[in-house]
Amino acid sequence: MVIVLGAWEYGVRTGVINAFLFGSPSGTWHFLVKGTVDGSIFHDMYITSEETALGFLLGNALGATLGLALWYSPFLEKLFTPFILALGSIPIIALAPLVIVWAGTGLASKVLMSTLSVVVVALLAAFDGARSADPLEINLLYSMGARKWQVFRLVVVPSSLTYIFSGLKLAVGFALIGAIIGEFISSSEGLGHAIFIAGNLYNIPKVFASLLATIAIALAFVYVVGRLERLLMPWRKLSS
Amino acid sequence: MVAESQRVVKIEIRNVSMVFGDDTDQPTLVLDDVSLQVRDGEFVTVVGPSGCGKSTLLNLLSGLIAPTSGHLFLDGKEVVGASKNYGYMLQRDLLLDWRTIQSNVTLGLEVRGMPKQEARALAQKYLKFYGLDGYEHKYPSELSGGMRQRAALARTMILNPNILLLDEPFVALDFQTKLVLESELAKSVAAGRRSVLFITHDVEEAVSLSDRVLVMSKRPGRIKAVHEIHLECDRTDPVSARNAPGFGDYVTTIWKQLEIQTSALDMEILKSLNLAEDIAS
Repeated sequence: MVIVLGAWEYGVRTGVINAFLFGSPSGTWHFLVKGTVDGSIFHDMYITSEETALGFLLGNALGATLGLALWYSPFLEKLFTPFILALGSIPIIALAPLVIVWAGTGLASKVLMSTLSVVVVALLAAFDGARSADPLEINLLYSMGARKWQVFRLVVVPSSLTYIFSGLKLAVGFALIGAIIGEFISSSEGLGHAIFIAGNLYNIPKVFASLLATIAIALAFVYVVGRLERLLMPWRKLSS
Repeated sequence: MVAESQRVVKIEIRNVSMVFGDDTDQPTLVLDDVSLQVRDGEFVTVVGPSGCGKSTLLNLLSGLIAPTSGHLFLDGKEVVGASKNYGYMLQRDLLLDWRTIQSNVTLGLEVRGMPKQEARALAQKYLKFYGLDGYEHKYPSELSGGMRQRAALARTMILNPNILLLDEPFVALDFQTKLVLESELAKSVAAGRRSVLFITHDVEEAVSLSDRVLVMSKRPGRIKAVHEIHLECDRTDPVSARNAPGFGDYVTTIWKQLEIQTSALDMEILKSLNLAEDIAS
C-alpha cells in the first residue's frame, strides 16, 4: 500500500504519471483535509449514510419479512416468485428515472433506490434460510404438539438467521450502490453527487477523496452488522 | 393385570408398503406389507440389517412421509400429515444450536405454553436427573455427544410422553455411555406407563431393553420373526440383562435371522466378545 502510494506520488512529481487524469495521493489528502476543515465531506457522508441506512433498513425489513412469509405460505411463493425473479434481474439503474419521477429528487428517491437494490437480495437470503431449516427439527417440534406458527418462530426463523446475516453483509454494498446511483441521477448533495460533479470537472483528487469517504461508510456498516451478528447469534462464535 | 391381548393398542402399523422413486424408471420397494402393534406399556424393538427400511417405519409414523399403501395409527388416530404428541428421539440429537441446554430441554414446555419460571424449575430437575446440572447455560456445540444425547433424553422425558418413537438414539455413543443411557431410558419407561417403538441394528440392545423383538428382512423389509423376550433379571439394568440366562440364546438366534453375512470366524469373535463382557462385569 505504502509502496503503491509512494510510487504514484513519485510518478506524478517526476511527470511520468499525468496528475490531471490520475490525481495524486497528496492532492487527495489535500481534499480530505479541506473537506474535513470546512465540514463538507462530513455533510456529504452524513447525507449518503442516511440514505443508505434507511434504504438498508427498509429493504432488509421488507425483504426478510417477505422471504420468511414465502416459506409460511406456498401460495404466496407461487404468486410472488416470478415477480421477484423479474425484479432481481432488472439492473437497478434502469429503475432510477421512474424512481426520480415518482419520489422526487430529495431523500425519498435515494432511499427508494437503495431499498430496491437491497430488497431482492434480502428476500432471497431469508427464503433460502427458511428452506434450510432441518425437516427433522421441524418434525421434532410437531412431535411436541407445536402449531405451524410455533414451528416458524422456534425453528424456521432462527435457522434462517445465518442466511439473513450473510444477506445483510451483501446488502451493505447494494444499499450504498442504490443511494449513490440515486445521487448520480439527480441530487444536490451527498457523496455520489460530489463524485459526479468532481468527475465532470476533472477534479480527480476530489473524486478519490469522496471514494475514500464512501469506503469508510461501507466499512462502518459492515462493522455494525458484524457486531449485531455476534450479539444476536451468541452460539455461533462457539462453533467457529 | 389385564390380559395382554386386551390392552389398548397405542402404536399400529397395518399392512404398510412403501415404494421410493415410483415416479422414476427404477422404483424401489422398501417396505413390503409390514404390520405391527405396540400395546399400552409395551417396549417393542425392530431390528434389521441396514437399508431394510426400519427407519422408514418411524418416518411414516411421525408423518414425515406418507406410505404407498396401508395405514398407520398413533394413539388410535390415523396418521395424516405431521403426527403430534409423542416422544421422538433419533440418532441425531436434534438439539437446536441457538438454544442453551436448558432452553432446549424446556422447548416442548414452551410449545405447550407453560410459564417460563415453572418450565425452568422443572427442567432443572430433569437436568439434574440426567447428570447435566452445571451445563444448563451452555450451548449444544459445547457438549460431548453423550451429554448432548442426555439432554435430548431430558427434553423428551420432560413432556412425559406415553408414546415413544426411537430410532437408534444411542448408536453414535461409546459403549459405557450407551449402557448408562439405556438404563436411564429403561427406568423412565418403567416409571411411567409408556409404549415404545425402538429401532436399532444392535441386537444386544434390542434384547436387553424389549418385551418383544421384531426381526426385519433385507430389502424389501418384511417382518420375518417375532421374539417375546423373557429374562429373569432387573430389566432397567442393561448389564444384568446382558448377563441373564437365555440372553445369549436370544442374541444368537436373532443374529442368525438377520442374515448378515457372517462367517464361522465372525461368530467365534462374537462369542468371545460376549465372554469378554462377562469378564468385564
